[in-house]
Amino acid sequence: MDKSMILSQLQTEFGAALRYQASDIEQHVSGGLFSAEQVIQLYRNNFVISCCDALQASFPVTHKLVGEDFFTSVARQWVLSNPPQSGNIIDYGEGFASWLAELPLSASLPYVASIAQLEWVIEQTASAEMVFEPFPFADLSALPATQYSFIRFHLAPQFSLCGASEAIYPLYQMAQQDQFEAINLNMPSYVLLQKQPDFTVSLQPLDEADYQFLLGCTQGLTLANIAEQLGIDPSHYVQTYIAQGVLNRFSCLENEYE
Amino acid sequence: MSLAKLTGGVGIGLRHPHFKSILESKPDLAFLEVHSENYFNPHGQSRYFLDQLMQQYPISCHGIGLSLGSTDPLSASHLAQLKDLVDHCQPVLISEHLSWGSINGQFFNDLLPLPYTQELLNHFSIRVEQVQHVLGRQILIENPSSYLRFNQSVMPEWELLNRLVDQTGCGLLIDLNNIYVSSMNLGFRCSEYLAEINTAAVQEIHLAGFTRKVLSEGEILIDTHGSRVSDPVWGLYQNYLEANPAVATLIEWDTDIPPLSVLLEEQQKALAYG
Repeated sequence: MDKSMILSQLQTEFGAALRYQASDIEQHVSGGLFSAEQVIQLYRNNFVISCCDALQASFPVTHKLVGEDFFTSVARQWVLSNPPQSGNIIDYGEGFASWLAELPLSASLPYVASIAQLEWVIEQTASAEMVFEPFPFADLSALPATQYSFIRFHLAPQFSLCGASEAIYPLYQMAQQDQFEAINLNMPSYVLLQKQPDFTVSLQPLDEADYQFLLGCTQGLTLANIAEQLGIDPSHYVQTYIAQGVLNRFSCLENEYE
Repeated sequence: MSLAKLTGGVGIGLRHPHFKSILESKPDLAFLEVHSENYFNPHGQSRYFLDQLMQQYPISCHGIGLSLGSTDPLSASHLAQLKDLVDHCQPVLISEHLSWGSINGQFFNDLLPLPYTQELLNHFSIRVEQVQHVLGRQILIENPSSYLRFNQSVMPEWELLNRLVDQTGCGLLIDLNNIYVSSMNLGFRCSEYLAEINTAAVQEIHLAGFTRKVLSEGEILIDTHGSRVSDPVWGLYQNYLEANPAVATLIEWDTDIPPLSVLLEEQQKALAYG
């Protein structure tokens, strides 16, 4: 056998053992006073616990809502079935929310996955670039009227959106303040997120129409597409969100204006 | 800060809970060491504080995620981000580990052990040379803590590290706590390890704490970096400094992070040995 294959195979076997999969790694290691199984378990614990800790750091409100035991249980399942894909643990957690949504718990606690998704968007927003360049009004004014339908507006990178069919905004606020009261959780909730200069992220509740307009912008829809799909005149929304700095540039056909 | 080579002094690991207190209190530290990956994002809060702290302190970049010993290809993205960080903060030292952490595209967020074979040495040397080529800088390689050894290992860790230095021109970062932990777990003598290691290549010493875990068969030491440096490790440090007095030293504390004052007490204790 090619010797370079040996190292590769050892690592494949080791990795399988860390994930409780079939492996013969124990035949290739010795642990002094301890059995190979015992020392492999130490490495397995380091892997699983450190990744669970990373998830808990990224999803603190989800953790608070479901409790320690439940969170640890689902986090372990997630870690073992979806280990990190990069050597930077800060990147870990993408897809956790949609994975939660597929679990049986979602039938009884559907808001849990939605809150997790909100937390993931919050974390990504906190890491985003902040751009405060003025909107290019002169470029917009210079466009021929025949091209208005082809305009696409873009959100500044420090803004993000999150929407759910459950009341994630009030639930998140209550969890942040540790003050829970009875609310109708089956109310759709839409949120505009904005990174602040102190690296916190502010949440602003949106009406569904505002959310759909901004969502259309993030999806790269033209104004004509948005008007057609939502059945609205988008000009009001354009003015509002340019004024707020949410929309900070536009593109038209092949050209970018910022 | 200037890029003057560190020839001694004691620094501490820079951790999130201490960002503001270090900026405000400006403790007298030889350098700050960062976990490189935590500072990759130029728009993140950690980088914001690093940008201020690097005006006051020399910085050492200590990587934990490059997975140098893996047979997977080196991550071009990870390496590019490391180069961006290195170009940005011009660290006095750059280091990584004699370990692996990924296989078949899956990462385990840990510093996993390697078999000490000629094949591993050749493989690891190529990877170190790749990194040094991309960064345009020498890197240091740190000895890991171990709970097991591979049956097919044919040389002790110190010999592999010495030969790695010869083959790649890399430097060494010797973690005395890791040597102690491994020696207790695997039954070798620290004195032999330290007598044999190429001290001319050692540019940094790490000091940290460990945890004892009791199993039915006996006691195993876990490299938790969550407590004060132990007396036996202080003893190793004292012996090391007697023979090699001018080496940069780091107090490393990664879990159950205490107030900054505790790290500074450990830093002062290390200085007293100098």
